[in-house]
Amino acid sequence: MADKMKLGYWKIRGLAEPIRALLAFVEADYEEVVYECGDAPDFDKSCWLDVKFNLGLEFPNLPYLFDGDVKITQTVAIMHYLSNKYGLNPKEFAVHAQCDMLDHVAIDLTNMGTRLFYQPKEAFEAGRDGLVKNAKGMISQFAAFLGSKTYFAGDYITGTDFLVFETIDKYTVLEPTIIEEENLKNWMKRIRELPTMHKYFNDPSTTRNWPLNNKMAAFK
Amino acid sequence: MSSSKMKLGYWKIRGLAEPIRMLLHYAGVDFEEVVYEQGDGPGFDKSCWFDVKFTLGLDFPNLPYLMDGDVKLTQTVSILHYLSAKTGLYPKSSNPADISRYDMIDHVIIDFFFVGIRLCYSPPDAFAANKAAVIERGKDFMKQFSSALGDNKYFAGDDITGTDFLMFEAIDMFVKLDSAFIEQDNLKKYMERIRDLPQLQKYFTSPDSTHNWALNNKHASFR
Repeated sequence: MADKMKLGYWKIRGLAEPIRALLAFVEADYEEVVYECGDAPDFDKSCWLDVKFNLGLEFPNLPYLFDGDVKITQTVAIMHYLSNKYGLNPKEFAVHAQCDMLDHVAIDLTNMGTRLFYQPKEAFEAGRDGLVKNAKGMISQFAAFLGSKTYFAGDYITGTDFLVFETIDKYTVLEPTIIEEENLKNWMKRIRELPTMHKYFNDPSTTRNWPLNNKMAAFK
Repeated sequence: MSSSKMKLGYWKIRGLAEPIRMLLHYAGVDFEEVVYEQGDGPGFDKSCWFDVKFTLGLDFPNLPYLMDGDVKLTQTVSILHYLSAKTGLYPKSSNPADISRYDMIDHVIIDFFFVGIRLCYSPPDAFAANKAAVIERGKDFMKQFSSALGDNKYFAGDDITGTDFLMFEAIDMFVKLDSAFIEQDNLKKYMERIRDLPQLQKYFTSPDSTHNWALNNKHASFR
């Protein structure tokens, strides 16, 4: 009998949270495999490093997903796999290409922040305003693309919405006023109010209450 | 409305566009290169791009970009996936497990590619200091790529896909950094196999091929 689907990641939101959001939306039954690094000054990662090369992953990394014969890493690949599994793919070829682009822009936007969050504190503080400015510009591009649509692919939700949502939501933690466009604010609200996601967004034990970033980050 | 030729916009370098160019040449697609050439040092002027960047109708202006009729895309992997699907250079398997595996491999290749790219664009002293460690890190990736390729001709099996053009270019960059970079026989043969493809002979041998351009932009420590 197939084992339950497993998602492995650090005890943070980080790159896994969009995956968790999608899984919450579809009410998937899965197991979180949680790795928690040690405290300062060593931030011991042995809980992960001790098992990293023993899990049958071709390209060991976090996050990872196990689903029967499927053992994959890479956030976008996991999101695409789950979107396909749960019927959350864009339907039209051209829209599919655009959503793929949105997924990768979301990763660029995420990485832009990550590069600064894990700098020493002084470097983070020095770069913070520049990061907010650049992020705002990219967030505005998402707003312009969304336009008057309900979701990024049109009138139906796709995996892209969860990836973009979490990417932007993290920046609202850094700067609460970072979203300027009404349509984007409404879309964020629309996702927060999805019926199957009530527990995910409101339960005290939700992974959304975990830090954004790992313990060694200047901004968590 | 004219059905204009497909356009690929990028710097006058190999960089992230070269895998896309290889795919288009392999598939025999007639396309137009829109080439942006950075100025020389010390200014390394990028105004040829910045002056037009926000006027091209791109939702997320960036390089490389692809314009194909109504479709206007940025993001290297997305462009490769789009063109792979369009030209039939897409994995033949319909098994979601296989599809997700190739998707994963594309993204690992990008991670690998950027490890090298970040080194090339680091200041000269950082480049010199970090080169050996980055080569070692690249070699760690190569062990995994070699294992994933196994005895297959290409990453998806017998048929070449977009993944292979991405892999080729990323490995070739590291080989330019270190001529002894490839340690595994199957990967050496893989690179030769791609170089020997009849559909790519003109691409590899033509004097004005983009394959002869610098890997990286003018302000890079390693071009």
